[in-house]
Amino acid sequence: MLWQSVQPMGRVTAQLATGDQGMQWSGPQIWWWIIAVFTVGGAISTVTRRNNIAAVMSLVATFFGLAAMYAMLSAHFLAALQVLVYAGAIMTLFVFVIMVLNRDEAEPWAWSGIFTKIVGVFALVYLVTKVGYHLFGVAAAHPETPPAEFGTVAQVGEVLFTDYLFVFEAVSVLLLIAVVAAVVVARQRGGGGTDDDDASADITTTPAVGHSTGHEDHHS
Amino acid sequence: MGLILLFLIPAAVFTGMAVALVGVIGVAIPWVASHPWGAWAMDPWFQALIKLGLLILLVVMPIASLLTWMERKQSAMMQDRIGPNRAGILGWRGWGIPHFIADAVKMIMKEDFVPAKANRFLFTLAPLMAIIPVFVTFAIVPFGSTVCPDKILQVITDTNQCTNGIGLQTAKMDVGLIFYFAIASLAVYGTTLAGWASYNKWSLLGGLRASSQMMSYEVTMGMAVLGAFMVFGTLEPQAMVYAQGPNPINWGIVKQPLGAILFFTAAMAETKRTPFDIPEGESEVIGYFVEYSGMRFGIFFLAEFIEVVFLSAIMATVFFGGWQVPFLYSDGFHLFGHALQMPHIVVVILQTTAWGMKVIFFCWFQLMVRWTMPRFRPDQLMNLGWKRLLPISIANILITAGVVLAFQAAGSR
Repeated sequence: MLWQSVQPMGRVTAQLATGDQGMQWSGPQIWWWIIAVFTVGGAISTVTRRNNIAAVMSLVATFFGLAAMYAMLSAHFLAALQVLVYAGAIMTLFVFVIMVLNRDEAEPWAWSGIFTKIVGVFALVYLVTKVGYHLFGVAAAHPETPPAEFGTVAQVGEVLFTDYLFVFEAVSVLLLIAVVAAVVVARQRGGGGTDDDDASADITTTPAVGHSTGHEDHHS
Repeated sequence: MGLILLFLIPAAVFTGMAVALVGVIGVAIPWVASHPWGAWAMDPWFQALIKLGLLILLVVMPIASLLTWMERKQSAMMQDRIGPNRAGILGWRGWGIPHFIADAVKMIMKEDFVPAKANRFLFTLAPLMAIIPVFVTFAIVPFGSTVCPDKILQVITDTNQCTNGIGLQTAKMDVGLIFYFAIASLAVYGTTLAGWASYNKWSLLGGLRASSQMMSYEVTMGMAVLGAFMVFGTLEPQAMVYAQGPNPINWGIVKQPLGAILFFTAAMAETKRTPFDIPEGESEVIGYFVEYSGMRFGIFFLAEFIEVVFLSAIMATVFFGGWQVPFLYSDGFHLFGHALQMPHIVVVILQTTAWGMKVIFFCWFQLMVRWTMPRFRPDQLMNLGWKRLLPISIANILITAGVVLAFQAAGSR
């Protein structure tokens, strides 16, 4: 069923070449190609757009393609979270930051010199040949239907809170550290008083770091 | 009195729609499918398409259009004015109802204006990003129980018994409400892109306000329903409705009163309506869609009303028993030992109508809130979201988890 779509590229192209089943593509295979082209197209568009917002929106499209891939792999919960966390939350913050910074539409630096162009082309060729070599070397996987409960919220939750509990908690601690660090960095940059009434003052006045200790507790 | 009338008119419209909805999905489609030439009618893709299409065309769009009229008429009543009463179809003025048609015609006929330095592609994309997610999310809303096409005139005790029942829900997904949060979070792009692509400082600021507000309240919104997830043991809306049952003592509002209030507040902030209309502020604050005119603006406007309908549908589903009618079981009413048996089709139509009544009630209630409360200041908004609603919702999760655990421990003993 949907599981068939997990075949590596080599098999699909091989079928095309030999022509034995070339015209009898199943629905999932067609969907796989549509989603694959969409995802890769979005990724290419992300790095080639000169407009920051357009690049970010291309990345959002890429995440959508990835979510669709996860859904085809029967990982529905992961697909929903991919859209929720990456497309819905993180990329929104990206757009927010880009809008606040409001940089000019500059030429991407990678196109700036002949040297970088040569390096880039070599890197691209190396990557494509290396990845392609490994992909075409893989034997065709046997499509099998996953069990019915595969990828459900209940099963993911159970695995997450039993087998991978330590990793799960470690990651949450890591995220907590990141949040605390972000607050510390923001405080040092903006000076004291992060009370709400003073939000505008934070942006306009940037006292030296050494002085900030003076009015740390001014508002509290 | 007038306010009650304002509830009754959409309710009457909806009752007709409910009969049509159940009739097409539960009776007409199976009738087509019973013939040899109509086997395509049971194709799952076609079924999903017809369910979502009918739900949007027969329920969502009529209610959303009527809401544009209700909003103005209700505000007029609450402020002791007369309100819209001029537009008419062949002399029929109908308390101003034809105004929504006049509005649509006006918006379509207006000049389609794009600012000179605007990013044309994103400027066009923004209204679509605002309205498509709200349509998609309706796929998870259950608007009735299961129809058994073979036994529509019989009295049946359990809808799970019939062999080829048609569930009155477009997509039964295991991830359920997570899907709603995922898709709804994309609506933020509509507002931010509109603000950015217009090439206007004020609309940019409006877009920033909108995205910060929506991001902040999304957190509380998700946290608020976690309690309901734990109580009902599922994320799937239809399963939640079944878990609540016909007895109102088991409904979400009784088991999760705090969660219901928190969710309603946070979701109202998501719809960006007064008292949370800081991003747009139709009359005073210049919002993200200031450069939009004609139908492009109309789409933002419509998306807002559809969000109102959707929020009402989710409130009804998660906290008010969804399509359950109090004490109406699948074979009829049961109350204090008395029973009133009913044919299956009557029960299903009653349930779908009840769902519509709940949805319309919450739409009406949101309009009441909108014309009662003054607007928040941005800092008050952020204070409320992060320092009050979020801690309360986390406390709600902890308490609910403790209670659920205690009940489970007591049950297993």
